[in-house]
Amino acid sequence: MARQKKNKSSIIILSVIAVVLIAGFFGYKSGIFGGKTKGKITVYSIFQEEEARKILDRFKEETGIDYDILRLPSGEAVSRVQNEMAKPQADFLMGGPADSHVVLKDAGALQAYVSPNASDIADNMKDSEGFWTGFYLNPIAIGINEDRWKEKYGNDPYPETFKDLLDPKFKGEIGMSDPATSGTAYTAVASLAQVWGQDEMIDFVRQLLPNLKERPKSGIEPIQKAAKGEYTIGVTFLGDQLKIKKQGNPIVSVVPEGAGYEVGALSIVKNGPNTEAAKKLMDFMLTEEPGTIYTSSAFSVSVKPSIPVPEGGIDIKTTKYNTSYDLWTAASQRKDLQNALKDLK
Amino acid sequence: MMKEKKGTGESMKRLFKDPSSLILVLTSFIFLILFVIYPLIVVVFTSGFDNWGTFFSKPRYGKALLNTIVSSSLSALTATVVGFIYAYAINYSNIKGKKFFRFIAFIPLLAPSVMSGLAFLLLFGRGGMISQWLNSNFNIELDLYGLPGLWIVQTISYFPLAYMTITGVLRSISPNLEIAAQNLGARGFKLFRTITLKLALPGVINAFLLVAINCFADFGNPKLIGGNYSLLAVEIYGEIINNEPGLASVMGIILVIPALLVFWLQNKVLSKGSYSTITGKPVSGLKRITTSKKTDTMLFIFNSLISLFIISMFAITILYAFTKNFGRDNTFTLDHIMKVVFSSSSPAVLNSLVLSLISAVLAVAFALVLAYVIIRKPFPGKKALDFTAVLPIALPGTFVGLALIVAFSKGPIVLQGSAALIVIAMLLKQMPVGYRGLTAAFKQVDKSIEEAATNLGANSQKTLSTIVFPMLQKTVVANFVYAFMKNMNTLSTIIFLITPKWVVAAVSIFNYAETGTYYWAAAVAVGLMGATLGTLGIIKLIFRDKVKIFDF
Amino acid sequence: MEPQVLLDLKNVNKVFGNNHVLRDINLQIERGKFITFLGPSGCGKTTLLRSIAGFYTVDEGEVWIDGKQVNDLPPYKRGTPMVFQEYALFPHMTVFDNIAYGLDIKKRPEEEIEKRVKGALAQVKLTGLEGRYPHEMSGGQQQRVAMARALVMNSPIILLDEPLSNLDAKLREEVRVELRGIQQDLGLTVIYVTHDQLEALSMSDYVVVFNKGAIDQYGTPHEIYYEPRTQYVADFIGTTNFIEATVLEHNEREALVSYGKETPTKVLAKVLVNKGEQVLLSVRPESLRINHPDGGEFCIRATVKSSMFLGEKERYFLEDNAGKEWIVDAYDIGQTHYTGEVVITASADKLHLIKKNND
Repeated sequence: MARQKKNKSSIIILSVIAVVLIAGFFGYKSGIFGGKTKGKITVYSIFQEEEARKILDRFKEETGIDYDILRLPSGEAVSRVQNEMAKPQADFLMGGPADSHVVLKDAGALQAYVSPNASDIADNMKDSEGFWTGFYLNPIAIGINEDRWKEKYGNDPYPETFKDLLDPKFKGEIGMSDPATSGTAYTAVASLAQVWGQDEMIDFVRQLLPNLKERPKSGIEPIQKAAKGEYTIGVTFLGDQLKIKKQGNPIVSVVPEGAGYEVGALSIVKNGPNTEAAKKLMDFMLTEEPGTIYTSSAFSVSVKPSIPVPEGGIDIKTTKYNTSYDLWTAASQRKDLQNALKDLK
Repeated sequence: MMKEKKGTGESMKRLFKDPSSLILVLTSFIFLILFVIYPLIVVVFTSGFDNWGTFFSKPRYGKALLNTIVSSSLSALTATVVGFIYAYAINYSNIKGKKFFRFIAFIPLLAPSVMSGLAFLLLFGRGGMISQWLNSNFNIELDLYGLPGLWIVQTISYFPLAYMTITGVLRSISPNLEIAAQNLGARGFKLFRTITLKLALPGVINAFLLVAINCFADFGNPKLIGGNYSLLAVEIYGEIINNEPGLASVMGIILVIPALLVFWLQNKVLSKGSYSTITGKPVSGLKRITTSKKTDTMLFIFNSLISLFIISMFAITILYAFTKNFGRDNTFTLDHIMKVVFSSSSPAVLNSLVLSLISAVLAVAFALVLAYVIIRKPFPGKKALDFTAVLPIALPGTFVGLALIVAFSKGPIVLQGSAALIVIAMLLKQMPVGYRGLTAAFKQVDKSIEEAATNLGANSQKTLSTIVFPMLQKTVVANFVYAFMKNMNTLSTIIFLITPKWVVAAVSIFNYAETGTYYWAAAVAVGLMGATLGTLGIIKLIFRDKVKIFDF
Repeated sequence: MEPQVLLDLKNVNKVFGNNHVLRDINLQIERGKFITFLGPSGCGKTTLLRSIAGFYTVDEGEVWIDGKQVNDLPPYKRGTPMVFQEYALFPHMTVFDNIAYGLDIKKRPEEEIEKRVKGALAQVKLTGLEGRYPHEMSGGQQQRVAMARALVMNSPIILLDEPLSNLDAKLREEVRVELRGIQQDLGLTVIYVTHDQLEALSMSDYVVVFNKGAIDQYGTPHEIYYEPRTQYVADFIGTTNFIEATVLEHNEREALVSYGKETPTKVLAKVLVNKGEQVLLSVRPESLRINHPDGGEFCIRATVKSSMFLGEKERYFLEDNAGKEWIVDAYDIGQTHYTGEVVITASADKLHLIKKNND
């Protein structure tokens, strides 16, 4: 009678399998396996993840390069890229207002690259040395939930200017991201500072605060929440509002006087893990297709003249936006203005 | 008078004669010093004087602290009460469906606490399903953001924790005591108040403290639902993002103080010679009959309501995950799942699974080594090692994450952005629990069994592998399962450490929920739960009876 | 030629903190003998056993096993298999694996292991139960497994630490007999620790009586019982009556002692005494007679205070004129019952002389 031998063999087999699986996973992660996937690109996306993924999926189909993506609000993304300069985690910064990219360029965190596909982009929408390239254009707009407006304010006229938003009837009914930290709201106030002067702008914001229901960290949230009926007005970029409207929400947009605009930009992070792929991505993004994909879903205007204003979009030349908005000035003033705004809490 | 041969010199000599033990001891020291002591010191140094000044001068931060204390206490209170009633119903009454209710209390453990926040938004947010229904049919406008919403969400999130703690205590109260009291004339509420409640009190207090600490450190829910009700964990996160590690460190330290207090309190309560154990083993005795039919009915209704709440949370998540755009377009689709769970681009659920498994294995292995070394081998500094090993239990997850990022993003060792740091963060949170469990189990292993092995010719390694480990297998596996589940769900601890390469499911859910991409948040949540369940299922298959999962 | 002495302890001392637990232990144990360490709890017998096994290192002295000094040898190299008081069976292993454990460690071939384990099982009468787990067995069976596990090692010396204390009385008796049988069959050297004198007396070739860490007496059961060397030994083993006596005269073999006002008695004296010395006489209750027609060299009047009927005997508690208490056991006396004033007698050879010493 043989007694039960302890099944040492099964334990050994299990551990071997586990080791192989884990090693394989890590290998896969770092893109060792050739053939189909030629390495991965790592992207910080300030674009909404849905749009970014659409573009990156097409990129994957075309080039075979897979991606890892982390979506962050622009302030966080800038912060991260700066903090990680000693050991950059990402290759590519997708989206975010140009002044954020300027900040990073000044900090030395970006890699200059002039893509051949950037030649038809206007000079005031890209960095002369190639540190960043504009991708889309988007003015600030006041987005109104029509249905909720009717409930609360009946037939009152929609607000046309920023100062209209100070009306006490809007208490708790406005959502706007925090200008002290969010790129979106900063663009709005920076433009106002350029039009009114800094002190008047600060005063304006101070008076506006009580009317704000919340100050989400992300730029698109105010209109998403307004659309869902959580409050009546969301102040965001026009493109976000049009997109939400396309989804079937009752949104009306007004581009007020003195509205600043953002140039959404792209840049390559210096010393990222896969700079080769980042350059390819830059080239890709400046072709027609991604521009079209993005503008049709984001309803912004592409910087490339060859891409038409999308259906359902608004040609901003027909609005009263601040045509002399200078984003380089905005960038240089950023720290001061934001500090002043922080003190308002 | 003869002197005994012992003391530091002796024990060091014996240790050096035993190289394998020496290696174990040294490894333990190095690891704990590097990843517990060093980050702590860095945090304290980073905080700096002026930052303390800033903290106390700007009212915004003081408010955050106050809010945190208030909301945590409230949530802990209600969670404990709910947990108690629920546990009482299951252990003391004659209601039907106890198995079902136990199951319901278990399932929230499969999901990160932020999923409660998500489900809450889906149901009760201003655009949520129920709020819309109330709005269109009764013209009621629900605004639960800020304290009310947070209170509700944290109560539901942490009620299972309270329930489990209290149920353990209730089960260890011998029914004979109540029967004896009844025999002497006590009935109904008086019986409950004078006997049951009194005996269960230490456990109830323990539950309250546990939940309070968890609420204190909670990051995901306050961020999602808090609205303008600012809370400490969220402020810390904001400051890290704004590149203000000093200020963040100050707040981190302030966050830790109540946690340490609670930790100390817990130890006092535990060692206060409890008349029933805090986490007791069930005690046999005569059958308990203490509730009237009326009480039974009420308890049943209560438990059913809670269960309904929890089920609806999961239901709404599943609905959002599998429909194109729930509420506007209810067609069934696997699109979302394919896109965010099964895609190779930023595979959050897969990342979570791998990292959680690795970290859980390491946590348990390390806990075993620590327990063995501390209980069986003499060496100097043992008490300090023991304290350091248990310390992370007292530290809120947010603080651990903060300490690690502050310590390892600059300075001599840079680990920022690596998977290793995430694994270590998880390890720091779970290993101490395993260590405590294994130490307790070790103490129950009769020393004479190990002696018998030695007596028959086994050296320490052989004893450890052939005798000690197999005997502790149940505890080891149980701790592994626990560590794995908690790892899958941790958010606050690792939110600072995430990089695009290693986006983890809990963070993904949170991100999507924050930006309003609800269907993707729901899809990842479903994926995460599925992965957890699947892994638990596999473990159950491998170990069968040796592990207690799915025992309802 | 194997040395006759298997275990040799020289001047062994052990201290725990401020507690001098083993004092100047000198002991030599012969091959093939059944030795019992006897004493109350805390007397050091278990400490000594565990020191032999290697679980404690002695602070002074030498420990020799089978001709080799083992002071610095760790327990797993000593070859002194032990049967633990709580059996310490490995709960996660079958009976077979438990018994085979030590042989597995030695990496013996499978066939040999199987043969030896089966043999050990047969010895303890557990054949057929090798597939069971410890928790599936009764206390008595577990105890046998523990023994088999030690026996199978074929070590010349086996240590047992109060192995029967958890069994009920009847079982204990059975196992005692079997154990002694196995020891004699195999010619094993056994060191057996117990506080139960009955066990010590019934099983041993030699008994070592421990008193607060020191050895008071090392002798055969007979010697221990009938010729206790110290008051402690006399008192510890069974019951005895102590008589405080004074030496009147003596030679090498005998002494004349007087007790109180009674007639002096001549007793055997195997130890050296001096004239005028205060000594103790120890006399067992069963050696005393009440109102016996034959009388005896030793004779004293006493009054019956009370008695207890214990089946085989009636135990009388008496008091003599000097106020001293006497215990007398009367066997097989039928309906006879003594009361009131009686005469207690004993023959002189039942009185054993012990020197008084400061314990």
